[in-house]
Amino acid sequence: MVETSKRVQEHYSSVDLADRIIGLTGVSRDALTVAALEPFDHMHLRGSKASREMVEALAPGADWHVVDVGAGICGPARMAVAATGCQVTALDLSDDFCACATELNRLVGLQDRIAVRQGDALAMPFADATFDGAITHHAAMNISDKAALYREIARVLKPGGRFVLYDVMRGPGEEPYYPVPWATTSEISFLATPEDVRGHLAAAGFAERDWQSLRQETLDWMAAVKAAREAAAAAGDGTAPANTGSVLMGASGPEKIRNVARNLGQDRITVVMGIFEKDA
Amino acid sequence: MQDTDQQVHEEPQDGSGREVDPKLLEILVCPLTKAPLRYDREASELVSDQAGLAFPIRNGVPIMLVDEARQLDDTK
Repeated sequence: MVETSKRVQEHYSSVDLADRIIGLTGVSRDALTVAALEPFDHMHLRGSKASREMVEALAPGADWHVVDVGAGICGPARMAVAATGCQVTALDLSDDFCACATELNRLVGLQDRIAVRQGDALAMPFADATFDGAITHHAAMNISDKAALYREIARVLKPGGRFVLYDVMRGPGEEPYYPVPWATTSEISFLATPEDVRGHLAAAGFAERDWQSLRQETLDWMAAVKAAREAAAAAGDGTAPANTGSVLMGASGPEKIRNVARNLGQDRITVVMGIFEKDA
Repeated sequence: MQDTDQQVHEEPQDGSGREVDPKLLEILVCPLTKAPLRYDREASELVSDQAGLAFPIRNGVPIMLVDEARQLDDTK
């Protein structure tokens, strides 16, 4: 497990990420806002649209304390806090993501509302029954022990606490193509089938409130993003190809994105949003 | 948290001056033992006496990874 953790940290290693993301916004550091960051700080399929759905599904009260497991650079955390006034504790394994998140939170004035902690989702540094709600987005695919992950999330949630997951899962088709954004090879990619994930969640004491396959929505979104980029390129807009994906994934970004589309199109992977409540 | 001084803030040596809210440190526990942590302001560490580990706070981010923690006693 330690070895896998190191490899996952290395995979997401990204120097000066905050500066490069701020560069994409075209806004100066002093004038940075959650809204200006929104097109660039939601590093998952369907971007900020998916984050908004997650926040709506979680529906946190202003008095809630929410944990974001695998929070990355905290795009969804900032959106949740700005939209609802809740408090977020953001946990991530990557030191570069934690540093970037801390910097962006500070620049938009949310450093007192979002606490960033570097840690392991399988050994979270939180006491039992600490949080009113939990979210996780595109983190579980780098975690092999799904049963332990959902047990750990259940542990830190209060009874009746709400949990929203937004994850890539294994489809019924052949083995996925690599590289993909979360893994260069299958070595640190741990995709579970929706059936297995639901089984682990039930075993951890979660009751299912909603479960939606977003495979087609994701394919449509990817096609729309591609079309917009091509149209911008045709119109000679040189800024169009820059996005968070290219900043984060570098030269292999286009190939990874292409493979996600192929994997979805051939049912090798799927995308799911689920809403759960911890048993009271 | 078993810190006796709730008003203090961490002053990292790199001069970035990031503060750590003691109230937010309160909810942190040792990832191994799940026992409360002792905040060592001088060393900018969160100490798990039971596990014999000290977790560093860097630039305001507590590093709650056992791999990154300092062993309090080398014989452990």
